[in-house]
This record gives sequence, C-alpha cells and structure tokens, in this order.
Amino acid sequence: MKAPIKNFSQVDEVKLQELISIDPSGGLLRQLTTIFNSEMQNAFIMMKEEYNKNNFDSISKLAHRLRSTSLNLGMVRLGEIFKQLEYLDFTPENKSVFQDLVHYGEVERDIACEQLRTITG
Amino acid sequence: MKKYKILAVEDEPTTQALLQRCLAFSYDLVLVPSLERAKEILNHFKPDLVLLDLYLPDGNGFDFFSFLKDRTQSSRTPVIFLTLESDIKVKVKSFSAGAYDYITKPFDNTELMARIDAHCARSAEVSSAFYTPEIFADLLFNRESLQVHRIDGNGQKELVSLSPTEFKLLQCFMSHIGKTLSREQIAKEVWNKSHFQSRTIDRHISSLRKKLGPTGAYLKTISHGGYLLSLEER
Repeated sequence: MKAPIKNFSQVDEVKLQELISIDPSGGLLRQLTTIFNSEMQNAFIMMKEEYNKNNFDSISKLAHRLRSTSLNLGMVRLGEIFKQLEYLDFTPENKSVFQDLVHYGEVERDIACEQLRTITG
Repeated sequence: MKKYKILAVEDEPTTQALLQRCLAFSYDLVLVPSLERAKEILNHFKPDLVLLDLYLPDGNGFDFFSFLKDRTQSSRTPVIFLTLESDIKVKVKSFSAGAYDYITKPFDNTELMARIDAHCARSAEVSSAFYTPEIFADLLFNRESLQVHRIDGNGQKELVSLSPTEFKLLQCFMSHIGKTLSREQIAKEVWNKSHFQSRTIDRHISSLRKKLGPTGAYLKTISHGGYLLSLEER
C-alpha cells in the first residue's frame, strides 16, 4: 500500500451534512445509499474475478467508478482504497498489495454500509 | 426567466442522482451515460453548456470535446469538465484544449450551479455581441444604409423590403439578441414612448416576421413576456 489507509479519516461528515441539507427529508441520502449498497455488493468479488483473468484495465475502471460512488457519500477511506486499486501497477510482485487492498476494501465497505444504515434508519 | 439548457455526460449512478437532484429544478437538464448517447442527443438538443466526465465507458472526454468543437452548432458551447481527476497535468491539458472550467468530484452543489450560471451568462453575452453588428442567420443588416438583405446559398443578396418602423424593430431585436423584450421596452426603443398599443406592436412584428421569411421563426413570442430574437430556430 502506498499510504497507510488508516491515516485517512473514514467519513467526511461535511459531505454527509451537505447531502442532508440538499434534502432534509433524507430522501436523497437514502437514494444514494441504495445505489451505494447495490454498487458495492459484488464489487470486490468482481475485482478478484477480473484479476484472475488478468483483466487489469477492467479493475482500474471499476475502481475509478467506485471511488466516485464512495466519495459522493463521504466515504473517504474507502475512496482512497479504490484510488490505490485504480492506479495499482498490476505486476506479479504487487499481487499481495492487490489482495491487501481488496481485503481492507471489504472491511471498509461493510463499515460504510453499516454507518449509512444507521444514518438513514 | 430563461432556464439554461445543460447536457450532462456522466455514467456513475450516484453522480447522476446528485446532478439530477441539484440541477433539474433550475435548468433544462438532459443527462446521458455515454458519449455515443450524447452525440445522438446533440442532433436535436442545443445545450447552453455541457458538463462532461473525463472517463466514460465508451471513450474519454477529450475526444468528445474535439467532436463538439468541430461542429458549427456547438463549437462555442461552454464545456465544464466534471471529474475525479485532480492531477495538475490533466487540468492544464483540459484548459489548453479549451475547457471553460474544471470541477473535481465530489462537487459542491452550490459551487457547481454558480459556475454553470456564470459561464452560461458570459457565453450568451459573447454570442449576442458576435451576432449583433451585421449578420443574423441569413440576413445582412446594414445600419448605415438602413437596409436588410437576405443572402442565399450562392452568396447572392436580395433586398428585404422593410418599412422604417420594421427596420427599427429589427434593429432593436438585433441589439438584444437572446433577451426577451417586453412590449414596453420595445415601445421605448422603437417609438420612444413608455406606453403604446400592444396590438400595434404585435401587428408590426407580425409583418416583420413575414418579410423575414424562414428567419422570421427566430423571432419568438414569449407568453406574458414580450418578444425574443433567439439564436435557436426551435
């Protein structure tokens, strides 16, 4: 990993507040959360599958897309993981880096999903 | 008040949802997920501004930007890149290519709208200034000789026979292209009167439209608002 992921704050609270201020009923946040959960559900499984097929370009494109999804919901640490996956040099020497990023990504994803579930009720 | 027309090219679903929520109320927004779809839309939708993601499933924003600039109808349309990329080299490349602005995601809703409004307003002023002096559509407008000619496809000129009042009306609209003028404003500029019979104004404009031929379609009636010489035929 290039930079310790734990150095990044997990959530951008300002971003979440902005989403709530756009729609105080919480409808926008719920809509985005639904999309987030759907996009993240099989994200890392797909990445592992693409890795096994040596489709590294697909992994980068997927990571780019999911980085946007994460940051739009203020999930900073998860966004950073996707950024590192997006720019990873997929050499055999970096296989363990990829595996670590996927592992931490799954952990952060689960934390993010739980947080959003708590906020949206 | 006129709603600016925005074409947004974005494939990521949370960004799509945010753009829809933030922009659809204040703008005439068309949101498409691919460059191919954007090209199809441009056949019948003339945006005042394009919001363009850099990396899309079917290509990159720079190629599409070149496509826009090559089309006469959209070469002057402001383009704002809306992207995750914060690399300074990419930003410089975007401005060198002619982008009006560059906004990194995640974007702030208020800032996005402020930038859209600023660029659309400036673009409208430039367009108006570009067309005001002499030429509008197929019309050649000569303020010195007080004559208007229609230019055909072979470059031949044909005099458009306008009355002095009709010429003044056209001159008034040519000085305010893209802006809605109330009947009161028209009365002031053309007849130097603050009050004037609406029917008289309407009659003169109707006559002017007929004499302008197909170009008369650019002179639009705005319900409860007046008249507008638009840059769009439709």
